[in-house]
Amino acid sequence: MRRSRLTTLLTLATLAFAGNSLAATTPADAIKYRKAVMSAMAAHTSAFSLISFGRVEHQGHMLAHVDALAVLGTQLKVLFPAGTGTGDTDALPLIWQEQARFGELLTASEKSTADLRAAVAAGDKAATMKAFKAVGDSCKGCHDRYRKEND
Amino acid sequence: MSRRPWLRVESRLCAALLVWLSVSTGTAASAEQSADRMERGRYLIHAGGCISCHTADRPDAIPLAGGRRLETPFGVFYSPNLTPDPKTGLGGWTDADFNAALRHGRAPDGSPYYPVFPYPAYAGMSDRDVAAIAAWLRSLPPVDNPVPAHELPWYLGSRWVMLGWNLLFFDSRPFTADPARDTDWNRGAYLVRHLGHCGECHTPRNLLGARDDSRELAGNPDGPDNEKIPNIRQDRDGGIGRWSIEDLLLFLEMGMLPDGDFTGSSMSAVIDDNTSHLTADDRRAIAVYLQSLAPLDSPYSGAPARTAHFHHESRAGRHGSGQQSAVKVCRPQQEQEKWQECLQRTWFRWIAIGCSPACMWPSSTDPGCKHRSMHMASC
Ligand code: HEC
Ligand code: HEC
Ligand code: HEC
Repeated sequence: MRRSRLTTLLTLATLAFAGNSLAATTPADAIKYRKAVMSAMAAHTSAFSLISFGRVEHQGHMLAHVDALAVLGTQLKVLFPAGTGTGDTDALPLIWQEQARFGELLTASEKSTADLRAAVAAGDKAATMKAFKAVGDSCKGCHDRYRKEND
Repeated sequence: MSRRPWLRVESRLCAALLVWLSVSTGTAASAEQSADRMERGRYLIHAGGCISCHTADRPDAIPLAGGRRLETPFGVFYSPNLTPDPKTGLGGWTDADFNAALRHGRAPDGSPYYPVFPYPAYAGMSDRDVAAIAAWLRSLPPVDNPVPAHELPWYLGSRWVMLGWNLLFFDSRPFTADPARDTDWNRGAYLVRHLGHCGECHTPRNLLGARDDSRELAGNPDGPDNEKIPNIRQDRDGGIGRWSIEDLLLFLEMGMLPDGDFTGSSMSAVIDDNTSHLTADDRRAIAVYLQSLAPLDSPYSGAPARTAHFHHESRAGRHGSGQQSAVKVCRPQQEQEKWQECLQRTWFRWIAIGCSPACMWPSSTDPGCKHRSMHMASC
């Protein structure tokens, strides 16, 4: 019994290890994931704007959207591993050529989403609008320089 | 000697007083008027999108001191310094000089400007608006910033070759309001067609590089910086017919697309420097005007909008006619067609402006051909 439990554990561990190496991310999947996270952020900004500009009620959902944005904002930095600049992607090679400047935008984005969350949590309407504008500017600023547009 | 000297003295005093009064009230009024005009000028500089073009692309660049590099199918242009610096800027420019430049595309020496400076759109501006812009630009601190010369193919080296183009395509009539439409629509039309020069990017061009206004804002496959510019008429697919007026207002204010994505590309500069600075009323006027543009069943409607993500369709798939995919996926045969099109385009330009025959060769380094080879490279 005890032994079989150990075997099971070992097997599981091996499987997990194997599973892990099987899941060594391909660039294609890394790109897919990047786009999925970006689209998730967009879904939250869209939903948030519908509430905050009074086009739908659902005030109670507001915090959920900015929570998600703030968490995703901290995750952006892992979305651009080396080798994911080619393939089915709109990310421009410039990202990996000027890491410092790109990094500043990642930090700005992380900060702006955190500020938005704080403003909503504090119930400060004016600060919320200002912070949302800053979030938008950070998305726009990065897309302007590092995302290929329609070509 | 006068019999009534006091009268003379008094009348002189009166006259002096009158003169003084009229001068002082005059200056008070004109000071107020000029503060007003100055504020208006500052606003119009935004509405005209002057800053994005006339500011260099460096973080430390001084706004409106020029030097931005603008790549076009006709070569590389550097925007001039608009500050009143006597040596490198517009020191000494009069209202008439500004009027000639913005409304007629002419430099003070009478030579024509290249239409990369969107004077074909600004031509419709009112005299009052031009004067306000001139006054505000003259009030800027002069900045000594020499700007590089344009890098143009030899056949465009002289400005005078643009005279022919102007004769063919340039319409300098000022905007006239359409009495059949309301104030919002007319204000929107003025902002979109003239000050905002939206059509310089969003309207397709004919083979000679002039706007095809019969397809106003129907999308431009050949936009600045080689971008494909989307159709912003009311087509439900390929245009913005699915956008509500609130969607448009939010987009013009902060660049958010209806699906929550944020625009990048040259449109983000339009939002940052122009539409986000407008009054809510002016943004609404623009939206009202855009929503009045009936769908055009145009064979090419520019780029598929980013909103493609919203509908979970591929960007190519969203485009009704399927032409987009021909551009995106260049199979040999399509490549051939594309090549023909590229050649044809260059050919027409060649006839039109005496383009270098060197353009006909794929390996050409003629700046006039750069665009074409980039176009081919993007296949
Ligand atoms: C630090 C840079 C950066 C920031 C900040 C950023 N993005 Fe992106 N975004 C990109 C890049 C690069 C791509 C292209 C990804 C690709 O195609 O691989 C992209 C793609 C997208 C896409 C398209 C995804 C797809 O399916 O093709 C959406 C939607 C998007 N971003 C939304 C947002 C929103 C909303 C924000 C702000 C809350 C944001 N992004 C912030 C860089 C950024
Ligand atoms: C799309 C880019 C672009 C925009 C937008 C633009 N300009 Fe220019 N402008 C240029 C370029 C390029 C030239 C030089 C043209 C030439 O050399 O023939 C120029 C020339 C000028 C000149 C003549 C300067 C000289 O030294 O002779 C003036 C004045 C001027 N622009 C004012 C403006 C104002 C005011 C606005 C906004 C209402 C504006 N421009 C918007 C690109 C632009
Ligand atoms: C310098 C070129 C340029 C100018 C000038 C310009 N645009 Fe754009 N515009 C673009 C590009 C490029 C896009 C595509 C952006 C994207 O895909 O995110 C765009 C997108 C848009 C969209 C969204 C379309 C869609 O389906 O995603 C609207 C609306 C729009 N522009 C309105 C305007 C208005 C109004 C003006 C004038 C005030 C204007 N544009 C001036 C280049 C320009």
